Amino acid sequence: MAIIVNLDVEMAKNKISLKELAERLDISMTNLSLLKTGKVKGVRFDTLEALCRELNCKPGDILDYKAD
Amino acid sequence: MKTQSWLLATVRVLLTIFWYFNIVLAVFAFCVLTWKISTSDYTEFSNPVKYPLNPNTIQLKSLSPTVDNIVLQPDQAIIKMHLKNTFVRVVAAYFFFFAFEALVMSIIYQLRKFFDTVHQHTPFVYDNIRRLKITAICFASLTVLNILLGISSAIILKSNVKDMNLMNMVWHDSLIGFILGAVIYIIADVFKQGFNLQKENEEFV
Repeated sequence: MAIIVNLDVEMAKNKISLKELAERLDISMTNLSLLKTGKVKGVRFDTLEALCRELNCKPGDILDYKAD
Repeated sequence: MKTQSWLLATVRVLLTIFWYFNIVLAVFAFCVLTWKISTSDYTEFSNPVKYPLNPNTIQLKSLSPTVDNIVLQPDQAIIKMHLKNTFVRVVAAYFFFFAFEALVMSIIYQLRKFFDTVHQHTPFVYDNIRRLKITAICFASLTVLNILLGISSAIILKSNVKDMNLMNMVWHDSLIGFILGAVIYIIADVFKQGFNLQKENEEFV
């Protein structure tokens, strides 16, 4: 897919584990893991907002576009 | 929501009662059929027919001035006969018995499973689409079977009763099974849409 999820980079920058982030966002670890690996069809705005809040970043830091 | 839960629980209980009652009834009917066939060399056959003529029309008195010309007219009668238990007739009897029972039991079974998932608040699953489609086909097949039964009765009457006109036979050719089947099939399609939407929604984080 042309959309690349850079969640692992932002997580590493913030030194936060998947489990901790899932707890803070109040979503399941499975869903967060799927998001991290880019195996989801979409991200809700409220999830994206919570991610930006917890990781102190902008949506563009988490999501990127690279033409196939 | 409370009424809905109450209604769902009632439907589930009713379906469970129907399920077990139908099993008992089927076993009883099978025993009676087998016993009748094995102990007697004939079977009692009856079929409603129309009177070919309207011989004794009776005029009734009206109690109201707004109604007149009330007529009591004989319309239907029942032909009864003793049919010899030939191999073909025995096979036909068992065929119709098992076919009707299989369809009725399948409908009740599928509906029971369907209502179980509705009760568990997970109605949009692939199995329910399949269940509804099977139920729809069963309802339509019941009508087909009814038509076949009518044709069999007509053959018996035509080949055994002199001067029997098929136009005088009373046909139970209700198409309600086809309509019900079509409606349930459409509902199955709606469930398919719901299933796809739910799947898509689950793929969003």
